[in-house]
Amino acid sequence: MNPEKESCLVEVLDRLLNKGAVLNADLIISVAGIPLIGVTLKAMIAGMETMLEYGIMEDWDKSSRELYARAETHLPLFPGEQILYKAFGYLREEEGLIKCWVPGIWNITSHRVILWIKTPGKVLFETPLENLRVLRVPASHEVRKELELIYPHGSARISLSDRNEFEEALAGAAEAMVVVRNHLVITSG
Amino acid sequence: MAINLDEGNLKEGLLGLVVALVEIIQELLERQALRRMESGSLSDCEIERLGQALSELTEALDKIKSDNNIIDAVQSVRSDLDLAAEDLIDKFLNPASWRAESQKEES
Repeated sequence: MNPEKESCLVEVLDRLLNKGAVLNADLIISVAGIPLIGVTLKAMIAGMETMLEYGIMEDWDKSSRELYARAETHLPLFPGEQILYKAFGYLREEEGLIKCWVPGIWNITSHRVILWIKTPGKVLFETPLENLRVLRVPASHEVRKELELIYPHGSARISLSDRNEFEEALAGAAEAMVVVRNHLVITSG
Repeated sequence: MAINLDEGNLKEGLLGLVVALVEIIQELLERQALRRMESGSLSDCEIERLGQALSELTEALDKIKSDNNIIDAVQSVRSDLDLAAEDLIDKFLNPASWRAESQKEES
Protein backbone atom coordinates (compact mmCIF):
# COMPACT_ATOMS: atom_id res chain seq x y z
CA MET A 1 0.00 0.00 0.00
CA ASN A 2 1.16 3.48 -0.84
CA PRO A 3 0.31 5.85 1.98
CA GLU A 4 1.39 8.93 0.01
CA LYS A 5 -0.91 8.06 -2.91
CA GLU A 6 -4.50 7.92 -1.77
CA SER A 7 -6.74 5.83 -3.98
CA CYS A 8 -9.75 7.77 -5.18
CA LEU A 9 -11.90 4.67 -5.64
CA VAL A 10 -11.20 3.38 -2.15
CA GLU A 11 -12.01 6.82 -0.77
CA VAL A 12 -15.37 6.85 -2.58
CA LEU A 13 -16.30 3.34 -1.48
CA ASP A 14 -15.23 4.07 2.09
CA ARG A 15 -17.48 7.12 2.22
CA LEU A 16 -20.32 5.06 0.78
CA LEU A 17 -19.84 2.44 3.51
CA ASN A 18 -19.61 5.04 6.25
CA LYS A 19 -22.83 6.64 5.05
CA GLY A 20 -24.63 3.46 4.09
CA ALA A 21 -26.86 2.83 1.11
CA VAL A 22 -30.35 1.36 0.86
CA LEU A 23 -32.06 -0.05 -2.19
CA ASN A 24 -35.76 -0.87 -2.30
CA ALA A 25 -37.35 -2.13 -5.45
CA ASP A 26 -40.69 -3.72 -6.30
CA LEU A 27 -41.13 -5.53 -9.53
CA ILE A 28 -44.02 -7.33 -11.22
CA ILE A 29 -43.53 -9.51 -14.23
CA SER A 30 -46.66 -9.80 -16.27
CA VAL A 31 -47.65 -11.45 -19.50
CA ALA A 32 -50.46 -10.04 -21.65
CA GLY A 33 -51.31 -7.57 -18.93
CA ILE A 34 -51.71 -10.28 -16.26
CA PRO A 35 -49.21 -9.99 -13.39
CA LEU A 36 -47.62 -13.42 -12.87
CA ILE A 37 -44.52 -12.99 -10.69
CA GLY A 38 -43.86 -10.44 -7.98
CA VAL A 39 -40.43 -9.51 -6.69
CA THR A 40 -39.58 -7.32 -3.73
CA LEU A 41 -35.91 -6.47 -3.43
CA LYS A 42 -34.39 -4.98 -0.31
CA ALA A 43 -30.67 -4.39 -0.20
CA MET A 44 -28.55 -2.44 2.24
CA ILE A 45 -24.82 -1.94 2.37
CA ALA A 46 -22.90 -0.10 5.07
CA GLY A 47 -19.92 -0.46 7.34
CA MET A 48 -20.80 -2.55 10.37
CA GLU A 49 -20.30 0.49 12.60
CA THR A 50 -22.93 2.40 10.62
CA MET A 51 -25.27 -0.60 10.68
CA LEU A 52 -24.96 -0.73 14.47
CA GLU A 53 -25.59 3.01 14.76
CA TYR A 54 -28.94 2.43 13.08
CA GLY A 55 -29.59 -0.62 15.24
CA ILE A 56 -29.42 -3.09 12.36
CA MET A 57 -27.82 -6.53 12.73
CA GLU A 58 -26.98 -5.84 16.39
CA ASP A 59 -27.89 -9.35 17.54
CA TRP A 60 -26.03 -10.95 14.70
CA ASP A 61 -22.90 -8.93 15.43
CA LYS A 62 -23.06 -9.94 19.06
CA SER A 63 -23.73 -13.62 18.48
CA SER A 64 -21.06 -14.08 15.82
CA ARG A 65 -18.45 -12.46 18.04
CA GLU A 66 -19.52 -14.60 20.96
CA LEU A 67 -19.34 -17.73 18.84
CA TYR A 68 -15.74 -17.02 17.97
CA ALA A 69 -14.84 -16.08 21.52
CA ARG A 70 -16.32 -19.34 22.81
CA ALA A 71 -14.66 -21.57 20.22
CA GLU A 72 -11.58 -23.24 21.58
CA THR A 73 -8.43 -22.12 19.85
CA HIS A 74 -6.22 -24.89 21.16
CA LEU A 75 -6.62 -28.60 21.30
CA PRO A 76 -7.95 -29.47 24.77
CA LEU A 77 -5.53 -31.92 26.38
CA PHE A 78 -5.64 -33.93 29.58
CA PRO A 79 -3.17 -32.88 32.26
CA GLY A 80 0.17 -34.49 31.40
CA GLU A 81 -0.88 -35.31 27.85
CA GLN A 82 1.60 -34.41 25.12
CA ILE A 83 1.26 -34.03 21.37
CA LEU A 84 3.69 -36.41 19.70
CA TYR A 85 2.77 -36.03 16.04
CA LYS A 86 0.76 -33.63 13.90
CA ALA A 87 -0.18 -33.82 10.24
CA PHE A 88 -2.86 -32.60 7.88
CA GLY A 89 -5.17 -35.36 6.70
CA TYR A 90 -8.70 -36.58 6.16
CA LEU A 91 -11.27 -38.75 7.92
CA ARG A 92 -14.16 -40.87 6.68
CA GLU A 93 -16.36 -43.33 8.51
CA GLU A 94 -17.87 -46.32 6.75
CA GLU A 95 -20.50 -46.68 9.45
CA GLY A 96 -21.11 -43.39 11.16
CA LEU A 97 -21.98 -39.78 10.59
CA ILE A 98 -18.99 -38.74 8.51
CA LYS A 99 -19.69 -40.30 5.14
CA CYS A 100 -17.42 -38.12 3.02
CA TRP A 101 -13.76 -37.15 3.45
CA VAL A 102 -13.45 -34.39 6.03
CA PRO A 103 -10.15 -32.48 6.32
CA GLY A 104 -8.47 -31.66 9.61
CA ILE A 105 -5.29 -32.00 11.58
CA TRP A 106 -4.45 -35.44 12.88
CA ASN A 107 -2.80 -35.37 16.29
CA ILE A 108 -1.23 -38.31 18.05
CA THR A 109 -0.86 -37.54 21.73
CA SER A 110 0.50 -39.67 24.50
CA HIS A 111 -3.09 -40.84 25.19
CA ARG A 112 -5.27 -40.43 22.11
CA VAL A 113 -5.58 -40.05 18.36
CA ILE A 114 -7.51 -36.86 17.59
CA LEU A 115 -8.77 -35.13 14.47
CA TRP A 116 -8.81 -31.41 15.21
CA ILE A 117 -10.54 -28.80 13.09
CA LYS A 118 -9.12 -25.31 13.50
CA THR A 119 -12.09 -23.13 12.52
CA PRO A 120 -14.38 -23.48 14.37
CA GLY A 121 -12.04 -25.16 16.86
CA LYS A 122 -13.47 -28.56 17.64
CA VAL A 123 -12.53 -32.19 18.04
CA LEU A 124 -14.20 -34.18 15.29
CA PHE A 125 -12.86 -37.57 16.18
CA GLU A 126 -10.97 -39.03 19.07
CA THR A 127 -10.13 -42.45 20.31
CA PRO A 128 -7.83 -43.61 23.08
CA LEU A 129 -4.64 -45.40 22.05
CA GLU A 130 -5.58 -48.49 24.05
CA ASN A 131 -6.70 -51.42 21.91
CA LEU A 132 -6.30 -49.35 18.76
CA ARG A 133 -5.21 -51.22 15.65
CA VAL A 134 -4.17 -49.81 12.31
CA LEU A 135 -4.75 -51.55 9.02
CA ARG A 136 -3.38 -50.63 5.61
CA VAL A 137 -6.08 -50.39 3.00
CA PRO A 138 -4.90 -51.69 -0.37
CA ALA A 139 -4.71 -48.70 -2.70
CA SER A 140 -5.79 -50.51 -5.83
CA HIS A 141 -9.15 -48.86 -6.45
CA GLU A 142 -8.64 -45.59 -4.59
CA VAL A 143 -6.23 -42.80 -5.40
CA ARG A 144 -5.88 -41.85 -1.75
CA LYS A 145 -3.56 -43.86 0.41
CA GLU A 146 -5.72 -44.89 3.30
CA LEU A 147 -5.29 -46.35 6.72
CA GLU A 148 -8.07 -47.95 8.69
CA LEU A 149 -8.23 -47.29 12.41
CA ILE A 150 -9.93 -50.11 14.25
CA TYR A 151 -10.96 -49.45 17.81
CA PRO A 152 -13.20 -51.52 20.10
CA HIS A 153 -16.48 -49.86 19.06
CA GLY A 154 -15.97 -49.33 15.35
CA SER A 155 -13.59 -48.21 12.68
CA ALA A 156 -12.69 -45.15 10.65
CA ARG A 157 -10.70 -44.54 7.51
CA ILE A 158 -8.05 -41.89 7.48
CA SER A 159 -5.91 -40.49 4.74
CA LEU A 160 -2.59 -38.65 5.05
CA SER A 161 0.12 -37.63 2.66
CA ASP A 162 2.66 -39.74 4.55
CA ARG A 163 1.04 -42.73 6.17
CA ASN A 164 4.36 -44.36 7.09
CA GLU A 165 5.18 -41.45 9.37
CA PHE A 166 1.76 -41.67 10.98
CA GLU A 167 2.14 -45.40 11.62
CA GLU A 168 5.59 -44.93 13.09
CA ALA A 169 4.39 -42.14 15.37
CA LEU A 170 1.42 -44.24 16.46
CA ALA A 171 3.60 -47.27 17.17
CA GLY A 172 5.99 -45.07 19.14
CA ALA A 173 3.14 -43.59 21.18
CA ALA A 174 1.62 -47.01 21.89
CA GLU A 175 4.99 -48.40 22.94
CA ALA A 176 5.61 -45.46 25.26
CA MET A 177 2.21 -46.02 26.84
CA VAL A 178 2.86 -49.72 27.42
CA VAL A 179 6.16 -48.86 29.08
CA VAL A 180 4.45 -46.33 31.34
CA ARG A 181 1.73 -48.82 32.25
CA ASN A 182 4.17 -51.60 33.02
CA HIS A 183 6.12 -49.17 35.08
CA LEU A 184 2.97 -48.31 37.03
CA VAL A 185 2.16 -51.96 37.54
CA ILE A 186 5.61 -52.65 38.85
CA THR A 187 5.66 -49.70 41.19
CA SER A 188 2.18 -50.37 42.51
CA GLY A 189 3.00 -54.08 42.95
CA MET B 1 -14.72 3.51 -18.68
CA ALA B 2 -12.03 1.17 -19.94
CA ILE B 3 -9.64 -1.04 -18.10
CA ASN B 4 -6.71 -1.90 -20.28
CA LEU B 5 -5.23 -5.32 -19.79
CA ASP B 6 -1.93 -6.11 -21.42
CA GLU B 7 -3.01 -8.54 -24.13
CA GLY B 8 0.55 -9.68 -24.70
CA ASN B 9 0.52 -11.25 -21.29
CA LEU B 10 -3.01 -12.18 -20.42
CA LYS B 11 -2.16 -14.23 -17.34
CA GLU B 12 -0.40 -11.34 -15.65
CA GLY B 13 -3.07 -8.93 -16.77
CA LEU B 14 -5.94 -11.02 -15.45
CA LEU B 15 -4.20 -11.85 -12.21
CA GLY B 16 -3.38 -8.16 -11.86
CA LEU B 17 -7.06 -7.28 -12.20
CA VAL B 18 -8.10 -9.83 -9.59
CA VAL B 19 -5.39 -8.80 -7.15
CA ALA B 20 -6.27 -5.14 -7.68
CA LEU B 21 -9.89 -5.84 -6.73
CA VAL B 22 -8.85 -7.85 -3.69
CA GLU B 23 -6.51 -5.04 -2.70
CA ILE B 24 -9.34 -2.52 -2.87
CA ILE B 25 -11.53 -4.72 -0.67
CA GLN B 26 -8.65 -5.20 1.73
CA GLU B 27 -8.09 -1.44 2.04
CA LEU B 28 -11.81 -0.95 2.65
CA LEU B 29 -11.76 -3.64 5.33
CA GLU B 30 -8.79 -1.92 6.95
CA ARG B 31 -10.59 1.40 7.10
CA GLN B 32 -13.77 -0.15 8.49
CA ALA B 33 -11.70 -2.12 11.00
CA LEU B 34 -10.12 1.12 12.16
CA ARG B 35 -13.58 2.60 12.59
CA ARG B 36 -14.74 -0.35 14.68
CA MET B 37 -11.62 -0.22 16.81
CA GLU B 38 -12.07 3.49 17.45
CA SER B 39 -15.72 3.04 18.39
CA GLY B 40 -14.57 1.08 21.46
CA SER B 41 -17.03 -1.79 21.12
CA LEU B 42 -14.33 -4.39 20.49
CA SER B 43 -12.41 -6.10 23.27
CA ASP B 44 -8.59 -5.92 23.39
CA CYS B 45 -8.39 -9.55 22.37
CA GLU B 46 -10.60 -8.96 19.34
CA ILE B 47 -8.58 -5.89 18.28
CA GLU B 48 -5.39 -7.92 18.54
CA ARG B 49 -6.85 -10.75 16.45
CA LEU B 50 -8.26 -8.38 13.84
CA GLY B 51 -4.98 -6.52 13.45
CA GLN B 52 -3.09 -9.76 13.14
CA ALA B 53 -5.43 -11.14 10.47
CA LEU B 54 -5.39 -7.94 8.40
CA SER B 55 -1.62 -7.66 8.46
CA GLU B 56 -1.36 -11.31 7.41
CA LEU B 57 -3.65 -10.53 4.47
CA THR B 58 -1.47 -7.57 3.46
CA GLU B 59 1.63 -9.73 3.61
CA ALA B 60 0.00 -12.48 1.56
CA LEU B 61 -1.07 -9.99 -1.11
CA ASP B 62 2.42 -8.46 -1.29
CA LYS B 63 3.88 -11.93 -1.65
CA ILE B 64 1.47 -12.84 -4.46
CA LYS B 65 2.34 -9.60 -6.24
CA SER B 66 6.08 -10.02 -6.06
CA ASP B 67 5.98 -13.77 -6.79
CA ASN B 68 3.98 -13.29 -9.97
CA ASN B 69 5.70 -10.13 -11.05
CA ILE B 70 2.44 -8.16 -11.29
CA ILE B 71 3.24 -5.10 -9.17
CA ASP B 72 3.08 -2.84 -12.24
CA ALA B 73 -0.01 -4.53 -13.66
CA VAL B 74 -1.88 -4.07 -10.36
CA GLN B 75 -0.76 -0.46 -10.18
CA SER B 76 -2.03 0.26 -13.67
CA VAL B 77 -5.43 -1.39 -13.05
CA ARG B 78 -5.80 0.58 -9.87
CA SER B 79 -4.99 3.89 -11.50
CA ASP B 80 -7.47 3.07 -14.29
CA LEU B 81 -10.17 2.36 -11.69
CA ASP B 82 -9.30 5.53 -9.82
CA LEU B 83 -9.64 7.56 -12.99
CA ALA B 84 -13.03 5.94 -13.65
CA ALA B 85 -14.16 6.77 -10.10
CA GLU B 86 -12.95 10.35 -10.47
CA ASP B 87 -14.83 10.63 -13.73
CA LEU B 88 -18.00 9.35 -12.09
CA ILE B 89 -17.76 11.81 -9.21
CA ASP B 90 -17.11 14.61 -11.61
CA LYS B 91 -20.30 13.76 -13.47
CA PHE B 92 -22.28 13.71 -10.21
CA LEU B 93 -20.87 17.03 -9.06
CA ASN B 94 -21.09 18.85 -12.37
CA PRO B 95 -24.07 17.59 -14.35
CA ALA B 96 -23.65 20.61 -16.62
CA SER B 97 -20.27 19.45 -17.88
CA TRP B 98 -21.76 16.02 -18.49
CA ARG B 99 -24.48 17.50 -20.67
CA ALA B 100 -21.96 19.57 -22.55
CA GLU B 101 -19.89 16.48 -23.17
CA SER B 102 -22.76 14.40 -24.50
CA GLN B 103 -23.88 17.26 -26.75
CA LYS B 104 -20.36 17.50 -28.08
CA GLU B 105 -20.38 13.79 -28.86
CA GLU B 106 -23.71 14.01 -30.65
CA SER B 107 -22.72 16.90 -32.87
